[in-house]
Amino acid sequence: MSFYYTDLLLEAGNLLGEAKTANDIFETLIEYVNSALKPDLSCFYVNNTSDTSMKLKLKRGFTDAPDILQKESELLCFLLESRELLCLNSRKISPFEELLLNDSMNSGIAIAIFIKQQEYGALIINSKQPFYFKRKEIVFLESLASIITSKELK
Amino acid sequence: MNFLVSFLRVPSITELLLSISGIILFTLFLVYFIYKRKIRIDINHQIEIWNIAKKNIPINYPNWILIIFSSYIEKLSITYGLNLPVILCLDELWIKLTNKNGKKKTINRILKYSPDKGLFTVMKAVLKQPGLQSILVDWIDNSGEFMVLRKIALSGNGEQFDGEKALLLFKDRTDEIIEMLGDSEWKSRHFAINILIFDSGERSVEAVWDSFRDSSVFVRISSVKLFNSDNREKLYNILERLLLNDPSFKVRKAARKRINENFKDLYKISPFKLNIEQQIHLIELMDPESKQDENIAIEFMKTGNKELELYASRFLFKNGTLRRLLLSADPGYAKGFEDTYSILEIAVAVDCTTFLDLADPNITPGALLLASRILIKNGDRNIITTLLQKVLKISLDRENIQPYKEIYENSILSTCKRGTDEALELLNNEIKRRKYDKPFQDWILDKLPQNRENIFAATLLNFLKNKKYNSDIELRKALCKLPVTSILSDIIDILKADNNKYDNSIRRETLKVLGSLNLPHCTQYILENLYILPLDEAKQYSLLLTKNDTSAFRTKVKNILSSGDAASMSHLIAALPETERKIFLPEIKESLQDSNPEVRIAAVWALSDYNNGEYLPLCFDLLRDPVEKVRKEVGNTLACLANKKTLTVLKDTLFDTNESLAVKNAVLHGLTISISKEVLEIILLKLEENIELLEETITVLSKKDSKSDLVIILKFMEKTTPAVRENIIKSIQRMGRKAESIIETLLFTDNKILHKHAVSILENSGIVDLRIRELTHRNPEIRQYAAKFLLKTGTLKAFRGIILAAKDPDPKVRIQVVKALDHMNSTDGLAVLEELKNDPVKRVRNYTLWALERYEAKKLV
Repeated sequence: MSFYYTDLLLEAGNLLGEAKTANDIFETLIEYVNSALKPDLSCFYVNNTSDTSMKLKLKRGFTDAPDILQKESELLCFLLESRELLCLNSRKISPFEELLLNDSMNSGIAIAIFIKQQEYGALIINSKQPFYFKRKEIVFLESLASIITSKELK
Repeated sequence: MNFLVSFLRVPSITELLLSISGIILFTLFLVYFIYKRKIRIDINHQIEIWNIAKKNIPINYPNWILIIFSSYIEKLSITYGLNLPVILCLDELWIKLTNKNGKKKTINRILKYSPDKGLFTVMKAVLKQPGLQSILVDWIDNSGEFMVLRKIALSGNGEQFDGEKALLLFKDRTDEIIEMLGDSEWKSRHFAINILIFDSGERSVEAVWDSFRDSSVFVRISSVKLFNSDNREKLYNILERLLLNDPSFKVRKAARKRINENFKDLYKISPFKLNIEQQIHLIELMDPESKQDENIAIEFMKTGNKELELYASRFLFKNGTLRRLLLSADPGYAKGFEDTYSILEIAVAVDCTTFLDLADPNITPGALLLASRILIKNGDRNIITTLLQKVLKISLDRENIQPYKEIYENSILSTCKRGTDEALELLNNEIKRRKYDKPFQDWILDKLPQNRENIFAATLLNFLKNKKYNSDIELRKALCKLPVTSILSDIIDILKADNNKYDNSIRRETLKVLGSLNLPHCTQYILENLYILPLDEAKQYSLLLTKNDTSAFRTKVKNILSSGDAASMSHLIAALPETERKIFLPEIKESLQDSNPEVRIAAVWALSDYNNGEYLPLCFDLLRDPVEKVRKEVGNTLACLANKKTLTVLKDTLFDTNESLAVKNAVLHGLTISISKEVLEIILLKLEENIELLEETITVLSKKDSKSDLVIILKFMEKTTPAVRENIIKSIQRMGRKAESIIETLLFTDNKILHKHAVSILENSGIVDLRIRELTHRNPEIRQYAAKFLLKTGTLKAFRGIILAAKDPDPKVRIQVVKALDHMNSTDGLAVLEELKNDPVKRVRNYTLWALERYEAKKLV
């Protein structure tokens, strides 16, 4: 990981440490992701415990994104079950093509956000440029999610 | 002469017969006169009594004599001007005779002398013999009575009679009969109804319809039994109403019978729409032969209403259903079995228990299981004996196999809770038979009844004297539950017996029992025998000793402390309660310098926690005691206290370069026992010091194998040197499987530091190899866990192992393989991933695509 990302990660870690509520965390997360990765679209979908869907809570970027994602979709099923970061770097036939939130998008990356074993939502980041997400972006995002996972809410 | 000769010759048969007849006649005549005279005398005597008491007294002669002399008594009656047949109760004999076989003469006598008593009987007789009817009719006509039929009715007891014939006899008196329905005497109304039922006159019919509401049970019953009407539906409705609502069982029963006989076609009662009282009335009169009624009763059993349950239970018992259900219970059909149990349990709860007769030699295990469950709470106590006898027989050597286990345990529980002495004797024998079966003994001793020392005391005392018996703690508790008087003498005998008679372990247990009995008057026995116990166990008696008579106790203690007997002194000091230590403080302090190490140890124990460790400095000196055992015990005691002051002293001692190794060793030994976290830190620091006692410190550390200890140890590994880490790993390896299991769980935490060191420890422990081998285990759950473990381990070795499972039949294992390949991110894994892309399971394929995408992305710079 480059120094650029390392610094951002440290800074994000500090700010996340100060976050008091889940909302604070999500806002910090999306801001840092947006400023670090500079994607075309960043969305945070929040888990609706009484429903079978996730709703769009935060969005950065001018492109449209679906308001709701169904939890039984291949994408969310995989993200929630595996707790792994999913990456799709080109538009092709894939069970995870829902990851590209808009037709204009050509690469995407997504990870489910857990805080102390409880699922809170999913972060989905898209870029119009194919093969936009590389090792360092993956590691950065995984590290950020890992910091959040071990976070104690005040 | 001829006359004389004629007497001497043999008489002819005719002469003989004539003579005998003459003699008999003469005798009868004589007897008649004698009786007549005697009867007259007796009658006179009774008249005298009657004149005084005005009480009719039966004349004491056989009935046949009274019948013969009836006419004579009538004559006397006229002579004396008294109603002698009534005074002598002869009228009752006449009524009896008329009831059997009405004769004109007798009827006339009754009508003449005792119409009030005998009219009804006379009426019944003349109804049977129409030829005699004129006698009664004439009597009625001449009687001048205003309500003569009422008189007839009241002379009876409300018996049934032929109303149809009576109607013919009294056809001219129908009005009088109808009027009798307004009589307050039920006999009168009953008489009237019995006749009017057969009258088709409008008034009579109306009167009979009303009679179903009569206040007399007998009137209602007569109407129910005899009334017929063309309006069947109306009559049925009345009968149904009576069946369900009449307060008299006899009426309800008559209504039920009538419905069964004549109105089955109209029967339409829905049992579950009735109120409780009606349901109860219905159950009472259900047909025991009817399957439908049986089912209704079973449904009533489930209503939760105790009253209904009682009636339904009684019905089901009487028709044999409860017994049949018990005998046919099959535990193999679980639902049916539980249903049967719930029905029988309800029946027993309302005290319907007679069906639980277990005497049948062919009774099934299912029935025994049901009975055993039921008898724990309810049922005849005597049945428990039969139950236990049978169960002990059928479950012999199968006590731990279902369903015998449950039957066996329930039967024993029933016996303990509610068994008779006979059943308890059986149980006692069973306890003796299984005396070396520890799980059984632990279970049963806790359940023995407290007030049956006559049965169990001897057995339990024998167990106490048996060296091989191994349920000591439970035995002690069981003995303590018995009345003291039943065991105390034996206990003292054991303690006082020669050493060669009872083993020391038996004496120790006996002393513990005595101590647990909390008997102040046994203080001397306890104090003098405390030496049998290890020092730490002697301490447990401090609470008991405080209950004693203080001044007597102190005298005893003083004597023992000044006795010089090391064993007694040390144990007594150790056992002294805190309140008493103050009194004996000088003696205890003096004991720190005692020549016997045991006494010194006991004194340290007594002083170490006394008054917030005020005398601890005195104990610190004993860390340098010449005897190693004392040093160790002092170390133990101080470390166990684990307060700031003691730990500081221990730490200073441990790291004091001028201190001897023996003393440090004692301190280290003490630190093994303490569970304080500060102690763990001292041990880790000692390990880090890495100058002396390295092997001992590693050993001491290996005793700290709780999860919280291991977390501290793993965190410490992060900040220490590789050499120290190596020693810590050595120590953890000595902890064994328990610690490895805990460390395995730490692999799955989010804490990177814990994870890192858990991995290093597990790799050294050989667990990784074990898990790799488990990837071929037959059980898919074990394979899944092994794959997960290896993935979490994350080392190259683990990943190499996991890739071998790419062809595992379980998709969950294959998913772990894909994840492992992703972690490895090596071109070597690509071929495996390409293969898994075509996996038959979609989930595996999705994971594979995920891994491949990530692999491609990670290649990009």
